[in-house]
Amino acid sequence: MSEGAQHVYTIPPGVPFLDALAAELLRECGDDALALSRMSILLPTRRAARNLREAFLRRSRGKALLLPRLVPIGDIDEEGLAFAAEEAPLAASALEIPPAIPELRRRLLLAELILKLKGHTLAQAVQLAGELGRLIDQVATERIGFERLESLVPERYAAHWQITLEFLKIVTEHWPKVLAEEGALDPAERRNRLLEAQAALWRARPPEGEVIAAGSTGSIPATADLLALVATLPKGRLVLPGLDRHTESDAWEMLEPSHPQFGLKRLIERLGIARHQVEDWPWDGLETSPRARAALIAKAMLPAASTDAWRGLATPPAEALSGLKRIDCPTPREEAGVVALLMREALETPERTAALVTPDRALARRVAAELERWGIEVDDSAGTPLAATPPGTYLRLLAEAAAEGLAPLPLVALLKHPFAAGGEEPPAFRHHGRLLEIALLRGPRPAPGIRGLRAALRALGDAELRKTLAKLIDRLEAALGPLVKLLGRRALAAPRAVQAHIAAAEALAATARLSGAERLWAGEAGEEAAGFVDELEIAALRIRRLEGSAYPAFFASLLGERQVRPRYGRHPRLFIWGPLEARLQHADLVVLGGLNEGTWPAAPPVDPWMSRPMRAAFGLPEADRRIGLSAHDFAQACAAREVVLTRSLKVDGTPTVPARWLLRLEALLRAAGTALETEAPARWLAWHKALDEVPGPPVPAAPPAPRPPLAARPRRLSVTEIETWMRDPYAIYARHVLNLKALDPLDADPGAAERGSFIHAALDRFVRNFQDALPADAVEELLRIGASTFGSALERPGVRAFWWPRFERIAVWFVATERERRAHLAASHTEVRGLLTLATEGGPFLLKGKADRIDRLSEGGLAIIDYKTGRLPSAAEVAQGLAPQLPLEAVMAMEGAFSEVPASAVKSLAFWRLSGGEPPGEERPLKEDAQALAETAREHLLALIRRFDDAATPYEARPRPEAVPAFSDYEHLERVKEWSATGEQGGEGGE
Amino acid sequence: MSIAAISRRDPRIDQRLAADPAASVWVAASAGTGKTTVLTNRVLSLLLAGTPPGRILCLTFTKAAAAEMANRIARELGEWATISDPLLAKRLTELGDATPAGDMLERARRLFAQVVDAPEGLRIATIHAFCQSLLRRFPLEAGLVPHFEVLDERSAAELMERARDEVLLEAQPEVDAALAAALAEVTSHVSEDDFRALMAELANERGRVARALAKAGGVEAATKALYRRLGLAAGESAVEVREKASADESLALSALHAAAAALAQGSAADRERGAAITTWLASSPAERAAHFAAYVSQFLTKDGALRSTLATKAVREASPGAETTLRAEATRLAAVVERLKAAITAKASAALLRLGGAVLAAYEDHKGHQGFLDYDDLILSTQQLLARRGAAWVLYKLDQASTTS
Repeated sequence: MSEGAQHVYTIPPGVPFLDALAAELLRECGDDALALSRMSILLPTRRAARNLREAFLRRSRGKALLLPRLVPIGDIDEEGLAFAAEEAPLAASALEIPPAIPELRRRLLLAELILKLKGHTLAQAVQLAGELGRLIDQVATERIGFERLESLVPERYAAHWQITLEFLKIVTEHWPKVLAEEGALDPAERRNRLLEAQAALWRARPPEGEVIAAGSTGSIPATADLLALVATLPKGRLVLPGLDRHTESDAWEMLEPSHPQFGLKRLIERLGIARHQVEDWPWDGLETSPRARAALIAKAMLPAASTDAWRGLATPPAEALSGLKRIDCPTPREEAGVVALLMREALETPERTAALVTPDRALARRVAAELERWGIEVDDSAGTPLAATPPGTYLRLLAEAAAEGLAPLPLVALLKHPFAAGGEEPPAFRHHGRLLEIALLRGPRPAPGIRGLRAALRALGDAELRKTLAKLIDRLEAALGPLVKLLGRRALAAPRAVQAHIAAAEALAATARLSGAERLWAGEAGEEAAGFVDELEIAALRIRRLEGSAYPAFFASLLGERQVRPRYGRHPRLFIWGPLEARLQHADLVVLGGLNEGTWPAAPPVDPWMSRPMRAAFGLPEADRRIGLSAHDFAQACAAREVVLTRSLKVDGTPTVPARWLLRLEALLRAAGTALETEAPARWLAWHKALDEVPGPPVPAAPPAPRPPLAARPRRLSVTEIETWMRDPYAIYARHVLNLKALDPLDADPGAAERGSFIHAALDRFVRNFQDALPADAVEELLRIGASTFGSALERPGVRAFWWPRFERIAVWFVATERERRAHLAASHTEVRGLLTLATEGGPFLLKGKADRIDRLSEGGLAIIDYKTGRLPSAAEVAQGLAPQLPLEAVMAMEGAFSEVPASAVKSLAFWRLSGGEPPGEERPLKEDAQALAETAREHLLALIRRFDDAATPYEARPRPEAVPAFSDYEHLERVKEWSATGEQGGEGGE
Repeated sequence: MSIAAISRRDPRIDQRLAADPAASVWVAASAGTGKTTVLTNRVLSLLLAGTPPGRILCLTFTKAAAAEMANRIARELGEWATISDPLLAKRLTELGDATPAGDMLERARRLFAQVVDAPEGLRIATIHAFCQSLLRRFPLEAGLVPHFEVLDERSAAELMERARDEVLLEAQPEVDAALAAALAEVTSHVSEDDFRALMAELANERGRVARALAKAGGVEAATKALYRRLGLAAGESAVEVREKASADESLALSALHAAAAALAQGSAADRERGAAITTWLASSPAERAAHFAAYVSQFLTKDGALRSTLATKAVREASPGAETTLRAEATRLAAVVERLKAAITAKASAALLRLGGAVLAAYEDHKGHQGFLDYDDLILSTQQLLARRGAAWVLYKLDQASTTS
């Protein structure tokens, strides 16, 4: 280190750093309004520069100021090496330093190199490229070369190591060439050069104005060099954040990388000065917490070798502990709720500020959401992933829907996104989207693409609806058609995909009044998204072969790491910061949230190339240094006036381990015979619980029993609905009074009922086609008919594998049975519809029905048959009248209600069970006399009609436990689960 | 050592024995009896003996157990750091069976901070988490994509479903005849829902099925082994079993005719059985095979048990030989029925193996193509990594332990 005085200061943890800095500099300048503008202040981050500007304005109390030059020089774990990318340092403009390569471009170039090695998907290569980029930056930051890699491992392991070396040739051999072609530098390298150039310039010619470097811990070697130089400049000063000058020197000498002071210790060692030579920066009157607090935290952080000293400690003074709370919450839900309450309470005191500091973005999001309970809007200044913002999700959904050929699920997701408008006003578009969903997208999926939608549309019965939807599909085609077509390709150039993606996004987002671009790229997230896609379009130039179907994953993996950071906080007094944003900041109440191992400090990143000792031998910083930096953040934040430490005992159902610093603090206090107070934490948890508590025990809903007016009650039901009416009247109410019908699921597998209907249809057509005589090859004929009634459903693996073989077996049985039966038949009528008007006191009641088959017997009379591919009603159900379908069809047939079938006596009623199993088919005639069954069924039905013609009769939900329907669409609506449990308890009471 | 001897002793003595890190022990005990205490004590003893925290690995089956152990150790060490000398000495004595000497108390006190400062804490993890972290450090050595994605059970099940659907589509006579035959066999036994359940089970046991298939050397070989195991000739079918059992040479013809004649002299039930036997014997071997079940029902109940009465008392007394003949035939038929069941089982299982093997192969294909690893793969790949690359390199790369040895 050069000769001469060094000017090194520190501001202790309990003092707002930037305020103290601003106050003293303003004081020094006194009345000289220009003095400040001659100063240069180097700060670790752009954020710190912005905050210092605000501190100056706060301190000057509104007086007009000419601010000093504020220059961010980069912080070790700051994302994106912001400084190097843009703001030129003091002298850079004069130097010819090549530009930094944009991050996205570097990633794609690296990904391209990785893809040459085979075995990686594009999305994986993109991720891996990010990892390699980080390795390159780390190596550059530490100013070491890759040459040392080769000899890192002893000879006997060379063969194993070779595998990694071979892979890393991407960065050691190929990358430098690519970079040279690009005429650019890696960002970390460029930052080094800028810092070095600056240092060289100042060394040669010390600046005339004051230079103050403040707030940096010098974790980057090139930064540390510059800081060291500033400290020796005639008009230079270096201000350190929270250097500990009180810890005993034995302990100080033993600091390990995970210690909060490790970075600062290294820095002053580099300056060649001792701790006592560092002076206090003047900060009179600004301290927010007693020194005893900082001392307590420092003690808790003692290196392991000194912790046996804990036992000898005196009880810490009360002032060290007052204002320090710890709240252990059951889960993040409670943690977020308690933090929000704490912040809300802070607002009760005028001008009081409060901040949540946490590396856990999910917790941050929860707290922001909890605060909305009181209409308080707070931004998470650590940012939101672009992928989670409205433009981000919109772009992702669009890519997925297009790449999957407008498959129902992604298409519905896209159509319901607030940006989707297709040239209409969004509410109108959404309405049309819902119509499309219900008409075409629910149920089995239509064929792919716009063509598939049009084909499905043609099959639609409702002409009006068809017209409306045709217009919507036109709009969709105009917006999405090109992208869908492009992403359906096996190979295309990436930039074309990006262009088509952007064009489709803008086209679909356009409304009648605004262009898509105006809507989509507006606001902070929109601007970030626009920047991203622009950058991507250029960066993707080198990716010339992309499989269309891989585009969504490719896009998403690049989008993944982009963050949208709010430029200005939305709330003047409440803040949510990440640990980086919290550095050099201060608030009256600081909540440190998510204090669990693995979250804070974060688990060290896994390095697929080198182990921890190998990294050390290579010259990369210890992984523990990151923990040391986190520990410094923690210790600094703990010095706020009021501090609350929170954590969750369980996260995602798994018990957690408290952050090491909490354990240390706990042990230290126990050794000193004391502890943090426990009463307030319990109180806060209880308050949070009380917020959402419903008084009294939960009251389950009673079974519904609505009594609609007579005029609203249905007077036209089918024979199968009569059964429902008996078993579950509420279902009739929901279906015919409320007019509710269950929607099919999206992308549904054709259900068992539908599969049964393929078989019904085949048998119907077969019997119709061969009324007079069966052909010789009847089985083949039936199978041919079956193939056409099954139709495209046969492309479904489940149908082809299970239902078709079943049908084949049924066909053999059916033809054999039919041959025997024909001898006694005059004629067969299949799928015949009938309508019977019953005269009742309440007016006519229409009974409709469709019989699977009515045979006219040669001996006279009718036989009614119902094909069952599923469950048969039991004999008991038939006897009790709970399965009235066949008997009611008999009632109708006897009165000639079936159009094709003249009225006649009914001789037999039978189910034909068509299982396709062993045996494949079975005739199951009802044992009771058909006429008698019909008579009883008619009486029951008339009684039922009469009962519901009384306005006092409710449509009860499942009134008879023994007659509960096997399946119902309305189970959920009836809230069956809620009341049936208590009902059962009552029923079992006798046991 | 008898179990009784153990249970009478003070359990703390056994716990202490098991907690001695110098011994390899297997502890089986019911919940709440102190297994975690034993494990915790072993770790504490190791730490006390100077083992660096980073060199201790504890594997558990659940994340909850891992967190529980970490917390217990931290709690205990936290107390060591703060309690009085006599108390600490007492704790250490209880742990190690010897009075602490030298600077042991001081070392014990420092352990707390040493352990909490360890960059990754103590390595206490579930077996899957451990394998995953190991593979993340050795992706290239393990032949994996560095960013391999771990499939959770749900995604694995979805992928299996996709593989199943693809195989079902392939199982058509014109595409893959063998597969189609296998599918036809399986569908004749189970419904679509049952098949779904069957495939879900296959998915759950995919690791075991894959290993079994690999061990046997493929589906064909596994099928052969299956027939052998069931005591059948290779490919022996139910039809063959029935035919063989109905052939003249398998039947004690004259004795059976004599028994039938004796039955004809008995009660109504005897006469009916006798007539059935006579009719069956009189038909050709091919017809006999076709009506085999009806014949068997004369001797065995529906459940396959020997009927308790094959002839009434009058017949038994009139011709004792008839009873013996009928018993012998019943016993023979019971064995045939067992063999029939075996043949049906073998055929269905072989079909399922073929189908399952194809589904698994399709599943593996998808997984490999996209760089996915399921939970089983984590363990398999770790095993392979250690076997292929040798533990020395793994240890070296983990912490360069071997450079000093």
